[in-house]
Amino acid sequence: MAGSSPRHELRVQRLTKSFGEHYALIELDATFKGGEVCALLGPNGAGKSTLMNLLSTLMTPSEGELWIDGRALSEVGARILRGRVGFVGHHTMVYGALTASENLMFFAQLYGLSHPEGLDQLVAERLEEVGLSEAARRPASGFSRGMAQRLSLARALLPDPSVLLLDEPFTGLDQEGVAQAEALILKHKARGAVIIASSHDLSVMERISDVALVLKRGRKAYSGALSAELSLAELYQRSVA
Amino acid sequence: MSALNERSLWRATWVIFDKDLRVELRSKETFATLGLFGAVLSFVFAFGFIGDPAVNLQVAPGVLWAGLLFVGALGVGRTFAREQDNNAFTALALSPIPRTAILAAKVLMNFILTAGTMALMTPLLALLLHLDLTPFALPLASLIGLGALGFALIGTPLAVLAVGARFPEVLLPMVTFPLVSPVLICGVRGCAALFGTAVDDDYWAWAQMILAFDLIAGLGGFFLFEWMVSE
Repeated sequence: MAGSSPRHELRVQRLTKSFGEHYALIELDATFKGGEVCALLGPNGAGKSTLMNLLSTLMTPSEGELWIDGRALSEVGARILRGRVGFVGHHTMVYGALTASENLMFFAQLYGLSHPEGLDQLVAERLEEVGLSEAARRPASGFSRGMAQRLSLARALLPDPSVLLLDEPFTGLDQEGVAQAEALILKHKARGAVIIASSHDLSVMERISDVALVLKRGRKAYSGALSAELSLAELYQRSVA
Repeated sequence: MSALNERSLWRATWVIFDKDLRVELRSKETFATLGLFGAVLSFVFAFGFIGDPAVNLQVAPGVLWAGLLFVGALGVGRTFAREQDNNAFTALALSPIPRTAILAAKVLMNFILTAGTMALMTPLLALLLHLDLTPFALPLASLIGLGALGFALIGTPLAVLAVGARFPEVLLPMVTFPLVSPVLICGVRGCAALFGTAVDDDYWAWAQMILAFDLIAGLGGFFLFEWMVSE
């Protein structure tokens, strides 16, 4: 568990998402605390990506409500929440025609960010954090999947988000990249950010996670802390059995 | 809309437009494609309709607006091409900006590309069809400009529907062409009135109709865009 006291909190209440007759998520109640990493697990089609999309405001819920730091999303507004969310998805979401620096500068401007030494410095710092300083002036179209994934992580962390949603964040990363990503996740956990991560690499997830939420066919199958007696893989298997 | 929202709308519109313009100036991909397409169209039309200049003047309005239709459709189809690579559109939609800023920047870019291509294509067509359009230069430019704006205002919000669609190159023209047809009809009639090939017609009345249509399409697009992105 993180040593620092939780600063942020994300809560969902009876969250439901349907696509016509099909229910992707059914009346989910969950609380995600800042300073904790929540492993979001479930078989394919369990509703993990739908939940991520709802939490990031990419989708609107069919029913239910989302609360950020005790305030309902309907009260806060989706735009305010978007400014506080960092999202890494299945795709890298980088512009191939722009260099790594230009990609981050573009989003820094859209987020209205500032830095005492200028946005260039902020971009340089973020690129250094993910080990892309050397590639700062190279077009992202020439990046390997792993480099693009690092850039995607840098983009997500750009605004120092209160909520970090990571959908398969380790895709394409080499061992060094995974270690860097882990360190960054733990750094933002220590800051008190709400971190929800979904990955099929359960060994990495076990290292970084404090709590788990397991979904099965759109419903909650398990929610709680990881136990010392049970590995994450065993907990997952028992939950979805 | 609050003053803060207005400021962030204009700032975000400029940031997105600046990015699109920088990428386009670097690659010249879309403009080169549109320019080449416009030139080929001009030659095809010229060889198809070439004849007496008086007859050419009669077919010129149809030829010009058919050109705008094809060039505009090609440009609108490329609107979110760069956002579709690596699904960058999601990152754009996730940023805390008014989503109408995305639309405003893309409309501006589409308008510049379509109007710019037509600015090259129109004199080329006039040359190939042995027409002297210089006496009509300003009103013709305003008509075509309004038409290009209408095409951008109608086609750009619809282009977002094609993001992630299975056959976007089929879907987009299918929904755009019927909606843009009033602009094309007004444009053809306005040009004919301007060139004096239509009797008792007032060019300005047709230009006003295009302007009215642009306003309606613009307002509709801006009101619906947030919903279109969310859904």
